[in-house]
Amino acid sequence: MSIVMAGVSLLTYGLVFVTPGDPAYTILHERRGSPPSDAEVAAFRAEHGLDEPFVSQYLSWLSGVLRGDLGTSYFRSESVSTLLLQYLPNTLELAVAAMIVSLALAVPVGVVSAVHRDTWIDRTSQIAALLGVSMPNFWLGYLLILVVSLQLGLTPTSGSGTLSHLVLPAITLGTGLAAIVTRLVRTSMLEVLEAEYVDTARSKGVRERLVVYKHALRNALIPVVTIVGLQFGFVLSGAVVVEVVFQRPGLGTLLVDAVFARDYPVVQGVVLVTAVAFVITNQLVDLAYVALDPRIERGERA
Amino acid sequence: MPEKHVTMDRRTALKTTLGAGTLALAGCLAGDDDTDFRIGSPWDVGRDPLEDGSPLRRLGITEALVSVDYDAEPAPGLATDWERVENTRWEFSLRDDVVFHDGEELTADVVVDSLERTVESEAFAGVPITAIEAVDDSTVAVETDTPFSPLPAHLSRNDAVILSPGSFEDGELVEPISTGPFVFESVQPGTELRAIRNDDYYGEVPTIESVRYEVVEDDQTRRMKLENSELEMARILPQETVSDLEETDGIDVYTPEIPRIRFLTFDTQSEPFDDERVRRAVSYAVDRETLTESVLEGVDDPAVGPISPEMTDWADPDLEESLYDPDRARQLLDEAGWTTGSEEVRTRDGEDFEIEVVAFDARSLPMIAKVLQGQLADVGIDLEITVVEYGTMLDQVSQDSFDAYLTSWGTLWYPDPDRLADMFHSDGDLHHGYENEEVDALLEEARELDDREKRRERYHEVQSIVVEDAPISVLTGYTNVIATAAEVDGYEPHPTEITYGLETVDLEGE
Repeated sequence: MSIVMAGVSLLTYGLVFVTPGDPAYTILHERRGSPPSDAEVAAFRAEHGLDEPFVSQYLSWLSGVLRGDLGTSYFRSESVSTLLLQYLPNTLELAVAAMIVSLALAVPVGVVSAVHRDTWIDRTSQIAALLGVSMPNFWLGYLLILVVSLQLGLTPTSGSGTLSHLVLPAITLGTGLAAIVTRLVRTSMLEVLEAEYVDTARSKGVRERLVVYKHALRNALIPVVTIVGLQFGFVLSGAVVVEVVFQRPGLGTLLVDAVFARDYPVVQGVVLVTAVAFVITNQLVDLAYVALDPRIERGERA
Repeated sequence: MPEKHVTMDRRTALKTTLGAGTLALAGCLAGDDDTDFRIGSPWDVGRDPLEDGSPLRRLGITEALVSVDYDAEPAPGLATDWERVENTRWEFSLRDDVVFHDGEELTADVVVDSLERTVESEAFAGVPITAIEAVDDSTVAVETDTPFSPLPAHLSRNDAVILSPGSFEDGELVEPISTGPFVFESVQPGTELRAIRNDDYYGEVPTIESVRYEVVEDDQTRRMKLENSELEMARILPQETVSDLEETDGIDVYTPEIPRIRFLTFDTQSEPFDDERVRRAVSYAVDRETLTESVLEGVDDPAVGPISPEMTDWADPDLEESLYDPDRARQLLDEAGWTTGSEEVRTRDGEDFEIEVVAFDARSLPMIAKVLQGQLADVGIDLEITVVEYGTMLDQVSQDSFDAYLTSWGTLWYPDPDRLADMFHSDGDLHHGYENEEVDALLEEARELDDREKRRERYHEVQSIVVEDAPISVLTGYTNVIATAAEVDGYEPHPTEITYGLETVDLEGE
């Protein structure tokens, strides 16, 4: 895990380093409203250690991180950890809600699609999934606001704080993911339904419903769990757009604003948190395997 | 098989119930808000006037020694008047009836402390203030390194507001406590700023009791929030929404011109724009009327000079109203040696007239670049557009040579035409490399002179020279689209947007 984190941080640090745009110049320009003098740029660089070679910059940042100090934003006087703590809960809330929406949609639809393979049910769900994948997030967001908020008056258009604020963004972000997962559940389910042990179960006279839900679905979910874990990244990148449309202050908006402002400590902080989230999700995925497939656990014990 | 269908139905039914339940619950949770006046705008909020000063100022929380009136001129604020006692020394007399939101009295010492913080900040690096001192209890003197007429204008800026000593704890700003008609209540960066009425305000006490500024980054979202009555005022809406909103019941639309221009900056140090004839030719080739009518929906106005004559008499009244003259453009290009052969694109010494225009990805600029591309093709110039993000553009044009870039600038963010020096002085900020001794001398004199009429003459002269020399080609003015709920009464857009003027706003039926 620490190797992954170190790799990610080194890579982003490197990318940020080669990005066009001198942070000293850009930030001073923004603060003063006019181009800074060379002396001011030099002073800023010295203050923030931007003069030093890449490796020593990275190492000093890294040693700070290990001591729990993520640095201070170039722009605001707040520390990066404060900013992250402020923005992270909103994004987590959105990501989890979107995951719930997508799974609640995708698993039943995928299973029904597979069971009723090549019927109208299957085709409708396939078309819906295609639509879901193709529909840009921001567009779906606007549509939902127009219909649900403006026409029906059920939810506020945007903002954050209450459950009602979360409904539309979660649906917006969740449906895109649901479309992908539905197709995956369907494929995986079809494969499993043709497996020999399913035939065995059927031939033993187990009822079809039990075959599908007890024997087949559980096995079919293993690849699905893997992909859902990986799709967490999709949720975060989608969150950028959704956060802007629904006026939710979150990591996505924080990151984009920081990149444009060349606020590198904040960029690093957000990337680090994202990487941690990825690593944790992967751990959870592994745990889910064990829950779904007892053989994996036995293997570990041996 | 029928069994299975029953299962599905049950599940579907369950899901529908859950879904409907969530939405119903959501419906109940909405509308827990009793703020009088809600404003949606894209700019971020914070507690420090040096960092996010404009929302604090515009809401009426903070105030400065100098205010700006509705003619875009410096006007009395916390100082009743000021005098230039020496060429480099100014004295500001303070109002005697002002208390801060925390009960602290406004005295010269407090003002000096507050202004010192401002002057030491990077934001004031370009203002030659050398000393600030209290002369007596209600007089503050400011000294400058060189004679500096724009001083009062700079002291009207959002970062020069006066804060009470109670705003700070251990030298750190914890809360912006100032003197305005509204009192700071809370702020959540990236989200909102709240303020309540200052019942003890020395001026007109607002009728609105509480106000909330919401950071709504997306302009469509701002509009929908207004339409859904979640905002009383939505600011900076896209031009294309004006005609729709005007037809919407319950919404009023305001389209005030603000002191900002969109323009093309040439690199006067490198080919082909090192030749002023070529720069002028581009300026003549642009049909600004068509430009604003098409991509800007006729909301913004064409512009020729850097300052709008509608806005202030600092603008040169003698500038031509329209520069569009494609024949003259062709003639100038011919003279400069760029001739048309059999091809559509002009050539000189076997080289095609191809230029790259860099635009940043804000709002309408890339679309304007497209229109320019078509219009310049008519006179035989091949224009290539590169759209980058603002920081990258600045980086490119400040370090390397370029052909031209498209940008927009505020022209009176401090209400003084000294801003023209930032644009046209050889030490200016636009990276055009334009150097004209006469312009430099005029700008330097005008910065020092006290007499308004003499300053005006010089600034008018500068404007007519730079339109002729064309280091930049001004294209359009700028209109702010603001929409309010129809109940909002008495709103008057301020020309430099220094205030939303909430103290004069009424909500009908309240």
